[in-house]
Amino acid sequence: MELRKYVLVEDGFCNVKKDGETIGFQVKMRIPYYRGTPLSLIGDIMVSADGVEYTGNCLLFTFAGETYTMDELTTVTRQYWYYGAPATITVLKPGGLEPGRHRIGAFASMRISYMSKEELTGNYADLTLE
Amino acid sequence: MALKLGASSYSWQDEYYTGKMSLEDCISNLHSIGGTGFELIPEQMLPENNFMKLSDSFVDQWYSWMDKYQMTPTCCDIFDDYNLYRNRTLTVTEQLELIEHYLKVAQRLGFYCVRVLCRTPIEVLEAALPLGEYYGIKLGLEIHAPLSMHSDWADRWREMVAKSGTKYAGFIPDFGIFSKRPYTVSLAKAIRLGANPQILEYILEEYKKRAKYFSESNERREMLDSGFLDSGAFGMAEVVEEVKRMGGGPLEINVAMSRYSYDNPKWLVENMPLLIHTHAKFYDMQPDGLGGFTDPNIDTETVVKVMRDGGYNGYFSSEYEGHGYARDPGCDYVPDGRDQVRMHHAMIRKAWEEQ
Repeated sequence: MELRKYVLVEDGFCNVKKDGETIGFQVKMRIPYYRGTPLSLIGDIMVSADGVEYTGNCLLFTFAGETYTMDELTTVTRQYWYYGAPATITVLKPGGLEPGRHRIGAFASMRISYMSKEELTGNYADLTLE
Repeated sequence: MALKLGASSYSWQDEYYTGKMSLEDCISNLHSIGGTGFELIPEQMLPENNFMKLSDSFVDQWYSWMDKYQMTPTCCDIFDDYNLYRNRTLTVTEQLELIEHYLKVAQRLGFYCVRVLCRTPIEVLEAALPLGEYYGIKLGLEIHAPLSMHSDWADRWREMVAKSGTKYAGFIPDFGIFSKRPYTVSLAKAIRLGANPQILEYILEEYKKRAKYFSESNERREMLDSGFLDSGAFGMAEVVEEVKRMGGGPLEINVAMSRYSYDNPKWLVENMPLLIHTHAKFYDMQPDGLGGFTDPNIDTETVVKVMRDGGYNGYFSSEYEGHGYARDPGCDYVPDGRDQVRMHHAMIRKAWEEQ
């Protein structure tokens, strides 16, 4: 894992409700690269909360008005993750997180054709859930 | 020949990423320091979906900025995302379609050249040559460290271009091929993360020996194998073995295996007719003690003089790459692309004007 500032966006951290029930929490993050790429070039996403790491099926990726599972992202070749533009990651965790301070991390790995390795890259911050 | 100075959008990447600067801010900043050529990574700063589909309103906006800031669109940087799908590599035809898409974007926005990534497969490069002619846009193959002007890889492109007879293809040297030393900012970052300074010192000395050796020898480098960018083609692989014996780990190995190399700037002369544009890559502008500035990492001043004397007619396009060495959370230094490009231009102007 590579630590890189500014990937995690500090606003937008909240619990998510659906039909009156809290189904999880959300964080916002930027692409950890120097240009935008098609979403299919996302290798993996990892969100952590107070040391617990969430990946794969418990994540949803929302960008430009569309929401995808991690598996669906692998075929999204015509929508770019615009450089610097936050995507919303929903972590499906019934009950969400308790109000208060949490140590949050957001990481993504990118499959870049000329790079030798694909490494989860992002950062942590202490954020407050209202 | 008059000096032409520009910069790439790459230089302000963190300012844009964190919302401190817009695309217009980058263009106006370049204008404010006397630059006249703007280079764009299209998927970096074209707003929203404009890389996929340029809107008429954005194109109007773009040309109004070019007028307002007296800016020439220079180079549009092409990427080759040949691993778009997980289960296969794009075919040559698909990679060509992608290149053609970039050429259409570049043409509509008035760029006269594109940067073609050095890792683009050779058969794609060959097939792309007629596209440059068709769109009237020069295809500049990037010579990126550790690739060399003196290599079988570069010869292949020279031969292809000569055989085709096209005037729309050549090279774009990235100044990382004139690296004098492992980068100051790279060593500083490694030390912050806990690297052993003695091992870094050893890497520094070994690098300098190889830079001297390679720039003075006519040894051709074999670089057509697919792993060439990561293989320590500059003779650093053996240094890595010694680094491991000295107790070094990933931090030190990463410094030893970075993408840097040193070509003799004089070799630019024989390539002059093929030099379309430059990526004047740099890392760390510092006062030079004489009232000006220098980057201790790159031999830019020598390169500028060689190119001036050789009759180079293109742009020096500043490409600041220091941001990436200052994003570790323990780094309290926040680089400013605006200051860096301003100092870089001052250095190039001075080198161009002096003997």
